[in-house]
Amino acid sequence: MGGFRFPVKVKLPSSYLNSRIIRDHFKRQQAAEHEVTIQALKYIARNTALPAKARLEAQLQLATMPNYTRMNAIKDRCVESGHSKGIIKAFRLHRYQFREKALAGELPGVQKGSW
Amino acid sequence: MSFPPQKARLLEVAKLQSKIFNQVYNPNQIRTGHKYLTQKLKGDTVKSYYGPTEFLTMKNLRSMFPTVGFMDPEEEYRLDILRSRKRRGKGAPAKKREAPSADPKKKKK
Amino acid sequence: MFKKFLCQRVVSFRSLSSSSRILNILPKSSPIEIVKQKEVEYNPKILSKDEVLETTKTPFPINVELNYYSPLRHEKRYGDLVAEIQFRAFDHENLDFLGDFAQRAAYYLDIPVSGVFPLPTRRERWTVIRAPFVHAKSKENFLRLTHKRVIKAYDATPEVIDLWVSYLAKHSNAGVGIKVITYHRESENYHEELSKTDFKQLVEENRKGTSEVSKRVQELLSDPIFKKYLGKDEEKIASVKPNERKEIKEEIQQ
Repeated sequence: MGGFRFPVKVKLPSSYLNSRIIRDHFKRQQAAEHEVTIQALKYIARNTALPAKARLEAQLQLATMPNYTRMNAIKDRCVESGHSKGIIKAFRLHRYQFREKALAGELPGVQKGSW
Repeated sequence: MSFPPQKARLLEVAKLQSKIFNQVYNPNQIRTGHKYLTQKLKGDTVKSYYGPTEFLTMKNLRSMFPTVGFMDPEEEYRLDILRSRKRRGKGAPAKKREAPSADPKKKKK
Repeated sequence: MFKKFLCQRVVSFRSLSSSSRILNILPKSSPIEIVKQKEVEYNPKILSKDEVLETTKTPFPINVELNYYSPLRHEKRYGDLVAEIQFRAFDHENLDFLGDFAQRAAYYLDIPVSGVFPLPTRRERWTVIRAPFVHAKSKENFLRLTHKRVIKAYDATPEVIDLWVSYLAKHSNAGVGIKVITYHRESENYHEELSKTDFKQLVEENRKGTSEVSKRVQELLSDPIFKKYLGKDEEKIASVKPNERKEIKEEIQQ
């Protein structure tokens, strides 16, 4: 991976791949890398004990962080199909992939429910 | 009837308490951004959502052990189909032995 | 008649085990040494002495025969809870087997254990739409039950508990999770040891998770971009640990 969109080279995961998963995976790597810096900048920006100019500077730096470094831009996707909606978090699967796998007995302990 | 203790006295207790238990003493509730220091970092869990990035592929194995000769099912399948096509006379045409003539105009005519 | 037979078998086995085999394993500081000093009579009572295995022409080994009966347990000596061991699995068959196995292993290690208690089963349920797209009225239910069992162990030294746990881990069933909680008792003179420990270092080690961010804060504040905005007082604040800044700020204001 290179080029304009993903300026940093990142190794691809072992799961199912499509462009949206690759993008989300890239976001995750970047967010993890910049997490400490963002937290530190947030601390400076929100600390009323520090001078206003320093806080403003921190806020500016936060706003000018590179693309794809924010934790809240990350979205859990299905590792089997890349769906973004209807994910069952315990299995990281879309509801339909979950159903197929559960019926095939590939999810340990999951059975057809009747109660 | 007993009176509740004075506020100053309570603050003193709070200060001592925070000193003992290593907490932040902040009686005026000023925003200090302390929570950004104590928040748990979630980078490691977030990073590995899609599974490991370091894993052995057949390509790696082949480059690591070139003499072993691992089987590649997909390549075998492709060759198998090519062979069956050839048997039915549907294979690729044989390459011409002679080099193509230098003048393309002649060919057109 | 059968019950009576079983009882007598149990009695004979207990006398056999406590006299010879088990005590060799126990550490010397064990409280069970008191028991060792008493002389235990070796007086096996075997009702089925006429029973001989057809294949080997030998009597049926007693420890093998015991596997047909419910596991034996030692009585609590002092009632000090030493460890709790929890098993979890999605099916109860494996759990029941491992619980039984753990009790038997504890018996031969001379650990008094409780019975196998069931803990509340965890039920997770998912309702999903059957179709990949639309048709939301037709749904399917899925269910996962996590069964749990717990065994409590009493009056054993940590070494024996370690031995027990590692034995269980070695022979554990596939698909059964094991969780062990051990309780450690300190001597009465523990406060003397406590006074020797360096608490500042302990606190520092506890803070390691957050220190990464606070280190970065220090770095940023010492950067010339930020430094030019910090006054004399603020620089003093920035130079100390973030947790103590508040107090210093107050001192300055006073």
